[in-house]
Amino acid sequence: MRPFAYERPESITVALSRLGDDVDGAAVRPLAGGTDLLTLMKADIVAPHTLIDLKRVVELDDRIEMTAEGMTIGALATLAQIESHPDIVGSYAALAGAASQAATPQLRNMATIGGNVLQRPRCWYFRDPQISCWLKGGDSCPARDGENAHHAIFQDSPCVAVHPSDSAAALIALDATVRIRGASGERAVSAGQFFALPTDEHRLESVLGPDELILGFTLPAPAAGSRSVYLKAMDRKTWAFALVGVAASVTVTGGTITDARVVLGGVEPIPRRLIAVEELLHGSVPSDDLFRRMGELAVVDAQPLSQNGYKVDLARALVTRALADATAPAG
Amino acid sequence: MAPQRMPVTVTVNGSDHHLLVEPRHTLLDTLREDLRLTGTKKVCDMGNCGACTVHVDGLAVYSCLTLAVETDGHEVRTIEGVAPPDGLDPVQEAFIRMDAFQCGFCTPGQIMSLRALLDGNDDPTDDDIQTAVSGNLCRCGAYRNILRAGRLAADLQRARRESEVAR
Amino acid sequence: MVATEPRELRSVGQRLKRIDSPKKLTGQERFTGDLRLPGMLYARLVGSPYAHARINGIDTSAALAVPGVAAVLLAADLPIREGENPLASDEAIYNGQPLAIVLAESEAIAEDAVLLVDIDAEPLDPVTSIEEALREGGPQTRFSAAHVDEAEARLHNSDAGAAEEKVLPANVTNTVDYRRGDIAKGFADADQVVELTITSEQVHQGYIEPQVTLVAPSPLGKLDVYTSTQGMFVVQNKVAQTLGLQASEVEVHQMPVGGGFGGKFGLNEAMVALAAVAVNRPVLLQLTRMEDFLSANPAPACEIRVKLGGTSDGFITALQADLTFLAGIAPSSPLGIAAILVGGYYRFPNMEITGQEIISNRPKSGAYRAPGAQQASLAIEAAIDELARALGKDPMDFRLQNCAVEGDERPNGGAWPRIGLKETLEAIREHPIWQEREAIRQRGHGVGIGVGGWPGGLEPATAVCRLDADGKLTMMLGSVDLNGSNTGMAQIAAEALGIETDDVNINVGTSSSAPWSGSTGGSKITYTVGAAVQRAAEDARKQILEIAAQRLEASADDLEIADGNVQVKGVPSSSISLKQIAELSMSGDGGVDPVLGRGASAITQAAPGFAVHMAEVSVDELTGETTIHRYVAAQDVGLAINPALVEDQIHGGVGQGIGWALYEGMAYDDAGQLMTASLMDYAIPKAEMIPNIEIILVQVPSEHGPYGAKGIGEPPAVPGAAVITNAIRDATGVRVTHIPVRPEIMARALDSAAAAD
Repeated sequence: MRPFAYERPESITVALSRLGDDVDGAAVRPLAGGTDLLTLMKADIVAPHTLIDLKRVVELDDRIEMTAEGMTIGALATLAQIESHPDIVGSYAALAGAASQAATPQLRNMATIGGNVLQRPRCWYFRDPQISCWLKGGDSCPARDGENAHHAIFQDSPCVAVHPSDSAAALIALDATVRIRGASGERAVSAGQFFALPTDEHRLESVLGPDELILGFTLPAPAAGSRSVYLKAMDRKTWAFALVGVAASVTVTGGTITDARVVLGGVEPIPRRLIAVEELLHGSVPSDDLFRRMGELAVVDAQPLSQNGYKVDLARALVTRALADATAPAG
Repeated sequence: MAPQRMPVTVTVNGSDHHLLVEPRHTLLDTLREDLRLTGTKKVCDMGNCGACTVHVDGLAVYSCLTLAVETDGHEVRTIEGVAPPDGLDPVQEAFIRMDAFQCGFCTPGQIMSLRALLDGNDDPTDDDIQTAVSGNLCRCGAYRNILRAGRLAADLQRARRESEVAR
Repeated sequence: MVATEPRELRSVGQRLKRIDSPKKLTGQERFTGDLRLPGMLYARLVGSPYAHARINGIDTSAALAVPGVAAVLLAADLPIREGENPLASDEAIYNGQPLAIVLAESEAIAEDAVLLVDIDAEPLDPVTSIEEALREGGPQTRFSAAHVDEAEARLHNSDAGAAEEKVLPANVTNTVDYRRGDIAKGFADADQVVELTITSEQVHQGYIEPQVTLVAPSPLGKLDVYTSTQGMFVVQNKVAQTLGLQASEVEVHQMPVGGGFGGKFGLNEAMVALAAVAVNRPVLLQLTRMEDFLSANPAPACEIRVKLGGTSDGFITALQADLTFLAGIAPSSPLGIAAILVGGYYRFPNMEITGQEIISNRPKSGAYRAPGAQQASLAIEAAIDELARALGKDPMDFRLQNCAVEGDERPNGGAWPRIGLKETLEAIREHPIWQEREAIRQRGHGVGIGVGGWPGGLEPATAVCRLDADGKLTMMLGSVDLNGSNTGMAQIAAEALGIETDDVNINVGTSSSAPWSGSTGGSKITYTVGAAVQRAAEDARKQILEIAAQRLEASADDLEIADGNVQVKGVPSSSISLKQIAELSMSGDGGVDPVLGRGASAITQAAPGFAVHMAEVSVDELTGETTIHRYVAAQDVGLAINPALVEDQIHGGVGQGIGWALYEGMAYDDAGQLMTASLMDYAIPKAEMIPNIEIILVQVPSEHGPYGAKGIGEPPAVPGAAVITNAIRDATGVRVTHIPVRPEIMARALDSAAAAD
């Protein structure tokens, strides 16, 4: 790693005042779990001149609390805390499942939920410092016509990397709100709006500003009759990023689906919410046939690259399976 | 930019150390280079193998993705701090009895992962044990024996504890 | 020579605990990368950013200006006397090839400086695939014609089986050609003919400890080399030659090896020695994981086409096979071994095996545990399964009917010695999984079997032992213990001398002090060094008995060694302890020679080893994911010196076979850039991916190995891909011909099978 300075403020005001890009363009970046940032720095993909360690900022915490309105999760809560928290396991199974299927026990002890949703893509072109790529500020994307077996099957961005976070898909499916703090105060953004496809002007995967911090997440109380699941397909049994992940939250009332949120991960640079699927599910009666059709609908706009056509099949199959799992009789 | 150094006070295996470290130095490098505790291995340096597993405040973490400055005021335990002065830890004992290592390079990390599990759970299930070492690679193929050693270590630990209670 | 009386074995055959345990469990074991010497510099490599490039210049000035940087060495700075320069100068020929070495006071400083070395390079077309390499008018691996060695290799290096010496096409560096009988007639006589082509990717040995070497110029004028290697004498000679030194001026200290698997045979020692001599300071180079993936010596990708014919009464009539290995930048593939094994497991009355080695702009290939055998087994075992199916035969019966036995001819001439292939197949046939495979199929699972063979390695070896003052035996060796083999050596010595294993101390010396021994690789250490150990201990026993005979006034023939004493057989009261003998032999007035046993082995007949594995698998038809439910490994080990250690080797081999079968492959893009240069992108199996392994040891003794032992390291690593793809075929009806069978490959194969229906 290139040398950098390290600061450990105790107040969020101080932390926020330090974040962002200096006039000379050198970056000051927040550090929480460090499990993604340090790998990017070691590979020389990013080179901040100062890291602001957030772990002693009093306004930031790792608290996980069930309230009357739902669940609040502090940005510093680790994946290990999330996967094992009884209320999350009980009421937000998609999030517990996403957290428990991510990485390894050691990484889950380190990685925070705030950092997890802000991970950069695992695209091997992006992560190779010797290769120029659009996301790193280059002119074009080498993966589009290169080794793209792990890449995007929906083509709405110049970048074909995929979002690596399992939890991000789950948070969207659970209708989470991201609480953000900036110099000018606090704002709340729905998880679905928090992620944004990278554009020429903004080659990042979220709307979080360089001088803003995630405070935490708020999840609404689960409706009666709702269930959620997270399914993940990997190229090995553990310790891999999703080839395709699906988070689904479905509410069934009186034998009819009254609410559904379905999100695909691993298919484009951000988690992909399947609005059309959700709308069709609404008011339908759960059935295998319905879920098969939803699987088809999920991939109707897919445009796979030369090596990743299999992901279309995978996405179709996992959506079908996730909906079946989320509506299967309990027990 | 001249590398800035920062004072760090960290407890390693029960002893306090006052160090001056560059912010970019990982806990792994600091253990190996400054404290010469070389049982913790540097293999991938990217959080992909588990050979550098240590405990920080009782939790198993990868020391290659932990900055030394982050451990200021915390407690670190390494493979050198696992065995009691007069013998071996139950996990180490179980590794011998179950033949749970071959070349020995991943072994310290495997032991630290199992030790973290057993610190919080005297009676783990087979799944708990498998999950506990799921972040540690072994290439010699000792996995099945490592899992058996995990089970035996839990038994040995309970037996030790019970005999202590009996005394 | 009088045959030794058969007697009950006491140490050999016991499940004894490893003699090197506690240090490896407490963090006290010192590996090479754990050493620090006064004045030591840390080396980092500057690698080529391109797979093929013209290097116009390298500017090191900014790097040299970094405080703490001692030197930035280029090719011309290395005091090389003989052989190829480890640093490229005018032309880079693979991605990651070292162009410069940065030497600094700390690793971090060295890394800083690497970023400041400015390389002016102009990319050239690389050879990156078999197709590209063979394309008429396609790219060449090098623009310079200076590499006479290679041209020479193309002219003369054709294998023994080649019909005639011929000039090979560009990028082709080796061929094989083995023929027997009349291939056309063989296929004409066949009732069924099957044909398939298997492909496998480049695979890395995946040793957990990266390549690491520390070289220190000693004040006495020698070079001390501390290194993780499988062969310290190989390293000694290579370093001495490269630097123009006498072998005696290079002292190699054999360090514990954190996994080798064929990949640690002197890759970087000469380069580090050159750097250390250039600056006259100790230099440590431990490759980063990325450097190791980029610039070490992985196993090459390959493609094997097999055509097989057989008759309805269950006999094979003809084999035609064509093998292509995509080696790295220099001839280095296991083409010859693979060709021999493709045609070696069964009786093929008519046979034609051809093959070629192609070089490419990738790092030079290396050996990976049973080089060439994994791919050969996959090809022939898939074809055998398909032929049995086509003929309506049971795949086990078909194998038993055709498998090679003692006396059957091998493709490269010569007959198989006594081998245990048939016995090992029979052991699997009797296993409940095989017997109940119909019921297993009803569950939607599949059962597959496969054979893995290894011709066995040979290299002479020596051992020397002495009786110590405490009555214990110290055995001095020059061979490398990778995974516990020294415990087996202690057992052999104890057995031969008649003492307890605990009373044997194994001491591996340096290249200056140790008795000479071949390298650890090819499954030959227990077979060859073990034989030398046995002889050395027997020699010591003879000397001990002679001394005792003199003291006890008895004939040496009437003496035995028991409980640390030499006694007259059946008369324990008339005895002298080994300790007394040792003291006597070391005292001024004892009048007897100190005991120094000497053993050497130069066995010329290898002991081939065969493994037969069986797997029960299922495939998730939606995701393409393969799950192995049960795995059974039978292996003819000759005689298990220490069954626990033998089983460890089998566990390891099975795990690596599963890696070949389902997970591992190094992907390069069209420009020759390595995409999978991390342990995240390159998938080594984790605990969850290795099922329970049931082991059946078959013991068909070898003629020359100690107590009948055979080499046991390679065979278990051979059949994995064959077994698992055969099981997948059984479960799904789909023949997958590419490994690794990643979920996407499986899913694609299922799709195309469905489309074909």
